[in-house]
Amino acid sequence: MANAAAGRVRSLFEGLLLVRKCAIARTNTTPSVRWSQYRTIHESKEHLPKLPPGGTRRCDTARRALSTSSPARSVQQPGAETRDEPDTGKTTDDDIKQMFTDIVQELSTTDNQLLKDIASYYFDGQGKAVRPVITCLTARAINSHTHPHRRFLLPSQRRVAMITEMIHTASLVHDDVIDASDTRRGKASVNKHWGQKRAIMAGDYILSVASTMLARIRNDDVTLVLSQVLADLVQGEFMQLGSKENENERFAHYLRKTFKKTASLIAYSCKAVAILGGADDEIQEVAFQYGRNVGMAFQLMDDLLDFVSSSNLMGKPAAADLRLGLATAPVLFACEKFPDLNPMIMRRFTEPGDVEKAYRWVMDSEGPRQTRMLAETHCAEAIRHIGQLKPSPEQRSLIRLTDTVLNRMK
Amino acid sequence: MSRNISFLAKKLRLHKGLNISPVSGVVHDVGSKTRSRDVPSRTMSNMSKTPSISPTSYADGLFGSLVSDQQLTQQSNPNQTVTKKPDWNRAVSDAEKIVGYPTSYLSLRCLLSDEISNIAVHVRKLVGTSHPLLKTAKRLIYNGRNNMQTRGLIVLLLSKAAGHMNPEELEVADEQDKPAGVSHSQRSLAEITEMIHTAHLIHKGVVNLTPSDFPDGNTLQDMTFGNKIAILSGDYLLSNACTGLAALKNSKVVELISTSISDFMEAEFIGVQDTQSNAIPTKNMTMEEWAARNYLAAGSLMAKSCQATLVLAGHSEDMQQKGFEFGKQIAYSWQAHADLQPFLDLYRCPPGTQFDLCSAPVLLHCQQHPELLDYIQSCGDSIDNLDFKYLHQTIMQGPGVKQGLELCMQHARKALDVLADFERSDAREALENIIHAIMECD
Repeated sequence: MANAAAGRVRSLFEGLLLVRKCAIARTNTTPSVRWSQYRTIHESKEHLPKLPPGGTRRCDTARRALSTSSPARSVQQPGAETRDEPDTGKTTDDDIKQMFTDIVQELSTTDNQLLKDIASYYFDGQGKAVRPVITCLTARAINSHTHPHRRFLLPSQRRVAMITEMIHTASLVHDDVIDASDTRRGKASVNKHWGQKRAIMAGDYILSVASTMLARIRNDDVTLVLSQVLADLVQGEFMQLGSKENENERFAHYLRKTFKKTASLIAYSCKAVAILGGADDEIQEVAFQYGRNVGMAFQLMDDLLDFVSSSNLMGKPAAADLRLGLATAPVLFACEKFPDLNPMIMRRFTEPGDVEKAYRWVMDSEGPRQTRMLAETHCAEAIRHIGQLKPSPEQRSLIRLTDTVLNRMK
Repeated sequence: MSRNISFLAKKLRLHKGLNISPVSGVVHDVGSKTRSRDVPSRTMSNMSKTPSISPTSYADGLFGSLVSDQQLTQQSNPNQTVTKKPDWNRAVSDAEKIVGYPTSYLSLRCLLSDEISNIAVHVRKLVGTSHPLLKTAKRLIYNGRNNMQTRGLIVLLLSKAAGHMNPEELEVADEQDKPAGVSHSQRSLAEITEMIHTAHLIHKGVVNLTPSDFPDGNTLQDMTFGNKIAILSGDYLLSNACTGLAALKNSKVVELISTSISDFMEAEFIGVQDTQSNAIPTKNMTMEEWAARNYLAAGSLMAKSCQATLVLAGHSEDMQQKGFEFGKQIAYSWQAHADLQPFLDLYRCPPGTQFDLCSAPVLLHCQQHPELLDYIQSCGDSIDNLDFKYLHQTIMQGPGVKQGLELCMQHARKALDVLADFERSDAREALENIIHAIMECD
């Protein structure tokens, strides 16, 4: 049973694009071995240098979710083709592959070669493309829910996925200038290469093209929903500039800021594709909540990885948040054990030695573990919401996606 | 709202003997008046030279009464006759009465939310540095007299002049919105236009942080911080503009305005530039290129918002095209006027201030005297290497200024021609007055 399950999980994973980007999926251990590995580490309460790959506690929930589908499939042999499932992976994979080419095409409507180059710089397929994947999968899942026995993706939904990626990239470009980062996705950032001014203009350009595409979908609700994202992104940045004095307020502030900066885009794009798929308010809310929870988990893991991972794997420098003066979840949790972190947070780690001391304390405390638990809670919420949809391969992929979010290494 | 304005103004009070008056008269965005990229030392000296203007003249402008001739004589260029400035002020204040309220601060209204008063605090930290954002902020709040670019006002006037195809839409609106025959969404659009322009100005003030330009560590830090605030405020305005656009529930309008934002950005990448992205003219740069570049940089937003406001009113394609043409021509004449300022307004731009090297007078001069082009191109990496006094002198002696004036008149006349197709009304007259004021104010 374990072998069959492992085989099926493996074949499904191979279909998903995330496999390519996620080092974890390449491991070949069976779920039971992975589970025991995890349990040992978890129970010994060591801090987590490298997160265990593959099966975690999510295994149980995932298996439970899987069992809602027809039982016949559970005895599938590894690699066997069925009518549905490998198809999902392939089609979403194809969607994404084609997406970057299409985005570059949209951005190339200008005659200006320099602008084209700068704007297309990040759309070379090296990014994780998490947001378009989530958007496309949600779209397909919603479509399967509203139109049972049919599997499709509307062109407008696909365009929303493209818009999502473009908005995300534009905000990255601006953020790199704001944070004065020199590297992104393993290569020199736009501002390093071409200067700050051009970086800002290029970011604005990408945003305006995304806006134009949004208008061309000719759906006022979708336009409203996605433009709210822009406002949230900027507000999130502003929130990051300021800091709260009161410790109790700090965590709430951090969560609100995380929503605005990361989860908002994913949540609203899921909602947008739900609207386009003809979903009613209830289902739109399901999509929104799924996106929101996955987004929160994604950012929490990102903040955690900033502490535990090495810079090579991430494509950007590690402990970057501390150096920028940002107090993220691990730090906020660690304050419990090390109250001396509080004044450091207030002065944004500007004094010499602050960053190193804070780093050591955080790694020493419960911070990383608690962050991970919070991320897992969000993932559980996400699964609970998306479970309300009618079963479909995409729905299962979405559930499995939470696993991948939790086990990212970059 | 005036209370908020004074709050904001107080927060931004600058040192060096400058006072920002709490109320302002006519609308402005002064940035493109001179597209000057001042070197740090010059910015500081400019700031100290600019005089403070008394609050009463602003209050007068705000409430529509005539500005006294005496005050104008003191401040206007000695080369110009006194009657020209009052025409402009009168035209604008009459126009504001027609559309129902003073259009000053249209772009800044959204900045007055609590969250964003944070920006004011941060901008205050920039005082004493030479980051361009400070200058932009100062100009936005502090009334620049020579600024003629009242985008929001023009959009509103055009809306009124064209009328509404569905008058029952106007009836539905709130009592307060009814005056002036302009619908709520059209007002919103005017505000959005101003916001986008302001956002663009602010983003243009981002500075390239090449270490060679800023060897001093402290200055570099100031500039980095200034950049941060500039980017965030610009982004905030842009995102507000986008949500405002979405709220109009008209995708054609959203599409039009978004494409005009793309155009803005394209304009920044055209042609050869130095390390601080100042434009440098190339050989054989013709006036067609001037027109093309300025269409993208200035014309597109104006033309498309004029078109968009007619879309909102339900007008035909034909009328929309007229609106587009009108906006385009008026933008060209504004741009030509702005290009001429360094050569006409010697009070505000004393010889030696940097000006845009791809502006109309320079290009026109270089067409007939190519040796100046050679000199300009010899500047290498940065336009700071050029002697602007010498350039100024040469161009004043040449045909550039005269031809530039003709260009401005030409486009203004074209705008008037388009306007003649609209029905006679007080709004149309107000527009004509404004255009005449531009033509005479040279």
